[in-house]
Amino acid sequence: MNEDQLLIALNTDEPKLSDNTVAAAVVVETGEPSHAALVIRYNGESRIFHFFGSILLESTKEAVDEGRLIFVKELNFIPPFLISSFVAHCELIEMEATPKYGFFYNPKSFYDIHGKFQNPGSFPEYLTCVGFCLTVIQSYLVNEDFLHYPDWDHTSLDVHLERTAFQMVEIARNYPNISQEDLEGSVRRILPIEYFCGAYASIRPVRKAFTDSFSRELITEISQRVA
Amino acid sequence: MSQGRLEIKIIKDKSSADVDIHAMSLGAAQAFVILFESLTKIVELTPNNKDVKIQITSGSAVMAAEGETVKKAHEEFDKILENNSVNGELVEQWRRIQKVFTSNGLQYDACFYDGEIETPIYSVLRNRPKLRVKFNPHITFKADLEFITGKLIAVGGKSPNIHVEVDGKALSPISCTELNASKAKAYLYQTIRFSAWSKQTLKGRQLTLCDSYANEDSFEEFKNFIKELSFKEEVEALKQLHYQTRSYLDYQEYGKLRRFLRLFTNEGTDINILKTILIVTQSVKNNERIKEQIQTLQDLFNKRFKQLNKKFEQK
Repeated sequence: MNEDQLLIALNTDEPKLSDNTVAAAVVVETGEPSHAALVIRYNGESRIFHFFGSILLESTKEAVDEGRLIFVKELNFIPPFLISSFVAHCELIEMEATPKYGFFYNPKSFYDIHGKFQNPGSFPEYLTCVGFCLTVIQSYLVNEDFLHYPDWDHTSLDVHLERTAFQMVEIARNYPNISQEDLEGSVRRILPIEYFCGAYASIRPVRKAFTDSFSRELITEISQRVA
Repeated sequence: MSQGRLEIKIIKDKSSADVDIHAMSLGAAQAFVILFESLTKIVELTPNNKDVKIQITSGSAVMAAEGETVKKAHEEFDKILENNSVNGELVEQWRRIQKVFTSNGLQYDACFYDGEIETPIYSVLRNRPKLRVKFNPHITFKADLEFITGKLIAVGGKSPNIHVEVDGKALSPISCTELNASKAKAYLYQTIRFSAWSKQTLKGRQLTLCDSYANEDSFEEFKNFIKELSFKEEVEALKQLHYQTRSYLDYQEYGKLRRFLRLFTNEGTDINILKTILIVTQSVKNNERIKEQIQTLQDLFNKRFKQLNKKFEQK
């Protein structure tokens, strides 16, 4: 892949990607990077893995044919020699997990409330498309963090406040063992562009300061590509 | 018989000046080095290459490989174009050439010759998507774990090993730890069931003791599981491994899980197997009964990761 190229668009640059690769992706709609995904290339076949109300693991062909603009950035901490276990991980999640849409994301959420064994595919009930991608990456990494999650606290949530409040009540009712503190601690909103930015960082866990400054550059570049 | 020839030329520089081998720009020299190295490797990777001569022509930057065998290299190249080659190393060399042709703004030409017949390949390489190795469904573990039932006939040695006879025939000595050897002594002249990692070396197949089983059920269960895996495609095999590990966890059979994990606690274990185990056990990795075992697997993973990543980054 050309190292100098900041943005790799799936529809025009796919042949430049390695045959075996895991990449963070953003889908750009009406000029905005509005949706987060993972793009997995295994033996030269690309699939997109994302959460869109339900979990989808599908060939990228359809999205590209529809003219959807998808930018990808390889996750260099999941090198090609690990591709088969990453593909297995995603296919297991696709089969096992049933998240709902919402703004709760706790990176350690694959531990259940009793700290008992839980399949990495069984998610907390409420996720965004970003939370989904992060959980997939995080549960694959096992011992390290991709983003520095405490940098994103409840103040990062600026939309759907009422809905979130309603969901908090619902979670508190269904999981009485979760403390109010823990629950509040898992309210956060990480934007698709912030997640995408994380893939460019050379130091992990990625701090919000990095994504804040670098996302401006990326957004400018994206708007030029869209124009 | 006509001669075969593969010729690659750097014609013009970025500034459109003719390239002269006596005074090359940095860009032309860099391209030259990669192309020449790949040309040499292509010859090296073509069998029976003794007749091939490699030449650099002074004046313009022309390099060539000439000889009967170059026609074989041409046939292999056609296979690559049809996405029909499984020779990863060879594809890699052609890819490097393709990358030079498509990326650095100089003008090139490349041809295969069979006697007088010329087959230009420059535009073919420039205009097609990245060359690829034919997908070869990869089976996770060939036969690097063996399950053996036999009579223990000797134990000991300076480098400890056990000697086992199967159907009256002695296997080559199976290396083990001192601890295993002293435990094994109690079973001398008895029939034992055990698993061993096997490794092909120059001296032939070498076995290293993994575990022994007093319980026939566990022995059969593990044996059948490993056998089943060997027929599966890699990703499917890893999913099977996930479910098997999970079933021990679901029934809290930690003792059995420990023995199951022991099968993979070996330097030779595929890194994707190690990763899959670490993922599925991550929420119980601090459980006293399997903690040590998981830590050992994590250490093996870290070591393998470092080795493979180093190789990958050098590429």
